[in-house]
Order: sequence, then structure tokens, then C-alpha cells
Amino acid sequence: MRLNLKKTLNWTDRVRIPQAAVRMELQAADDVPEVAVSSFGLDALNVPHAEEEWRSALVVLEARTTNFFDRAEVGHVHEVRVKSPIQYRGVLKSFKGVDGFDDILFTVKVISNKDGRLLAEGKNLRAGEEPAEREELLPVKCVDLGQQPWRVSWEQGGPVLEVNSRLQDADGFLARDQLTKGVVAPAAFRMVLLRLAMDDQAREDEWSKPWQRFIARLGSETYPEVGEDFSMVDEWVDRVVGAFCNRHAFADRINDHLSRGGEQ
Amino acid sequence: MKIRRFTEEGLERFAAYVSESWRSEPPPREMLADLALTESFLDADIEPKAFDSKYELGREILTSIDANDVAKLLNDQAVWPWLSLLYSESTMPIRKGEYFIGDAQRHLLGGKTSWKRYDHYHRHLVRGAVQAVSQFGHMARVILGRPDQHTKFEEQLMSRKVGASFAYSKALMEVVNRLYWDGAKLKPKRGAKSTGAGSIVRLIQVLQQIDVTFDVASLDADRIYELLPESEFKASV
Repeated sequence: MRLNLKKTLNWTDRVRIPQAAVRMELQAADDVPEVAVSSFGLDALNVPHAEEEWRSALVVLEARTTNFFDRAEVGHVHEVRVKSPIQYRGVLKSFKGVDGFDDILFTVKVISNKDGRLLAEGKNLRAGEEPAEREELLPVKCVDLGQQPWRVSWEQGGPVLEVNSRLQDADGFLARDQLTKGVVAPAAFRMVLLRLAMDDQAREDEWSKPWQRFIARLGSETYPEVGEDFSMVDEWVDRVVGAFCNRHAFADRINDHLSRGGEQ
Repeated sequence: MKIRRFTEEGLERFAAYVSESWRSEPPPREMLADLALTESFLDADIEPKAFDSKYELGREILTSIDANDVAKLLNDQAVWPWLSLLYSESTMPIRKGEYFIGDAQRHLLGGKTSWKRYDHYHRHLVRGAVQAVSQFGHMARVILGRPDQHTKFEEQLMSRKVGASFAYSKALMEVVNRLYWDGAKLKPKRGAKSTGAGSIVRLIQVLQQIDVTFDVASLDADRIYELLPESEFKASV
């Protein structure tokens, strides 16, 4: 009988480390990238694990592109979290001479010393983004949605991207590959913009403040007037979505993904 | 001769030759020392030779260069097409009176350059050999076949670079050897490359599931082996 573990079950209460919680910078020194992490985001996590297991767990940082990989053991949680202002600094020797460091993605893992279980993990993290840009505008939640792959739902705290928990690796859904991200992110973004464009109450809610800052950074200062005909709303939404997509080069990244035969 | 790399013009010329899967004319070995088409790269002596195995090909290159130059070699792009041509007696064998080239990505390598469509580093015949042997030493024998061949083991293990660190795990390679290497016959066991129960394809599927819960990269070989389903992977050992 085959052992067929379901990927959607999180048996170890593995905690997700979001991009917004991690602060890291990447610099080139003599043709080799050096990463400096000022925060692994460990203190911001709501950790269900036993205190002693968590404190003694090992923090690991992995860096990768399509063809290169580096891995470093950073230290135990109780050692790492007290370091300041830099929690880790290291040279990515495997990337020496590699053309361009923009594509490097990082994974932070917190691994139990008892049995190697993953207690926390942050995947597909990027270095160098401004902290303000890494506000988590659209939190992700895994929910059973039947046959619907995803949706944007509206809670008191604002919009939430609900990913169907029936999907394989649901909690890594958006970060899975550039195709998924490029198809989902602009569409989800558009839904929130429509709400902001048409609902003046939403613009007063606390959740909309980081959205307004983000929209301003994309170069759009003013909402359309509420009550404007839909063509004005559509035009505004299209403009902001266009700026969002330009910034992230979604179409290019999708093509890049497809040209690699679907391998990232 | 010393190890060289192609210039942009050299790459264009070589790419034109490998653009067809079969060639009646021989590989253009006269390019190897052409000063207009190549440039110096490493101060290491290397000579064209034929090999029966990709493992021996990888070892030959690694023993020819300084250990401190391995990273420089692996991280360069234009040297690998040059090496593919140098060892073309092995990488472009004669079959039925013609030279078998196969897919161009077996011989070309790109990155963020105009050659980026050749970005599957693990599929480059010579680089794949050197990468595997440099990482895993003699344990790489189980995944490497003939010099002109890209085995299922290589495709399953060495392409899992994103999202999983299997391609860099010595402990996992030890498990792969334990499961699939026939020490008496000095080749992979029968059935290892199939898609059925206990095969390398199934091993990767199971490891991907295990990797959701455990950090496979930090497990030792005994622990990885312990986590594998008993009836599927251990019955015949």
C-alpha cells in the first residue's frame, strides 16, 4: 500500500513567515552577493509550538535561482532573535560571478532540533524591498471553497485573499510560480481597487490606508469621484492595475516561466 | 591545450552547428583554438578524449583544474559549449553514419544573456557531469549514464532546484545509492528508472510530500531512509 500523504494537511502547525516580516538586503562585494538580514520576523509570529522546542530550533537561510543554490545555518532561535541590528550576514559563495542577483529568492526555515520538522517557513522571499512596500496588503487565508480556486473576501479588517484549502500546497499558492502569481495577483488587486473606487465608506476604513499609500507609490494620487460613470472608474482601475503590473513585469515573468517549460 | 571559452561570435557559430539534431559533417573542432572565436579562460591543461561514462567525463575535467577554480568553472556560461565541442567524440557520437547532436540545450548554455532560452543547466551534458561529480563524488555514478545521455535520475533529482534542495543533498544521494546502485554489476538496479512503485520517480513524489513537513535537506541518510514507505522502498533491499 502506498503512503500517500496529503500535502494540504499541516500536521506540525507549521507557521508561515510572511515577506512583510522579513528585512534583508543584498549587496555585491567583489562579484559575490552578500546578504544582511536585520530581521527574520521570528518575533512577529504567533507560534503554537512548545517554548523550549521553539527556542532551540535551528534557523536556516536558503538562497536560490533557477540554477544556483546556497544554504546557511544561521543559528538557534534564542540566539538569532536577540542579535541586533543585524541578525545574520553571509556571503553567497555559490553565486560568485553569476549574472545579476535580482532573481535570487530566499527561504527561511525554522527546524525542530528534535526530529527535523519544519516549525516555520517563509518561501520565495526577496531582499531589498522597502519596508513600506512589504506591508501585507492582502493577507492570504486557506479556506475550503469547494471548486472555487480562490476569491477575495471582505472581513472587518479589509480584503483577504482566500485560497482553496483543497489545493495542493495551498499556503504557498501565490508564490508557487510566476504564472500563478501573474494570473491571480492583478485580478485580486483589481477587485480591491473597484471597491475603493466605488465605496466612499471603504476609503475611510483603516484597512484602506496602506492601500492608499501603495496606490500613491504607483503614481496615482486621486480616486475617481464616487458616482462617476463606470467608464471613469474602469479607466482609473485600469491605470493603477497597469502600473502595478508594470512594476512587477508580470507578462514577462509569465513568458519566462513558460519558456522554461513550466519549471521555475 | 588550455581551457578556453567561446566569444559571442564563437557561440553563434557553434549554435548554428548544434541547431540540427543530426549532422553529416563532423563537429567544427577547428573552432577550439580559433582566436577570433574563443578566448582564454582557465590556466589548466585539457585534451580531447572519449569516455564511456558521464561520470568519467566529469572526473576528467575536475582533476584537470585547480579545486579553487571549480566555482568559477560552474558559474561561467560560455565555457560549457566549448567543452561540449572539445569532448564531441563523446557528446556527439556517430550513429548510423551521422553525428547525433540531439537538443541544442545539451550543448549550449545561457543565463540572462541572449542565450537565456538555454537555461536548463542540468541538461547540459558536460556541465551536468561536472556538477554531479563535484557535489557527490563517486556517489554520482548512479545518476550518470553515457556522456551523450541525460538520464531519468538526472532529470528527476537535479532539476528539483527551485522549491526543494534535493539537487544539493548529499544525504539524499546516499539514499539514492542505497536504493538503486547495484554494486556487483556497477550500474543502477533494474526498474530504478521506471515510473512504478519504488522507482526514482516515486521517490521524488514521496520526498516532495515529506518535504512539506520535514526539512529534507537537514536530515541525514538514515533518517530519510527511515521516513520512506516500508513496503514500497525497502522490501527488496
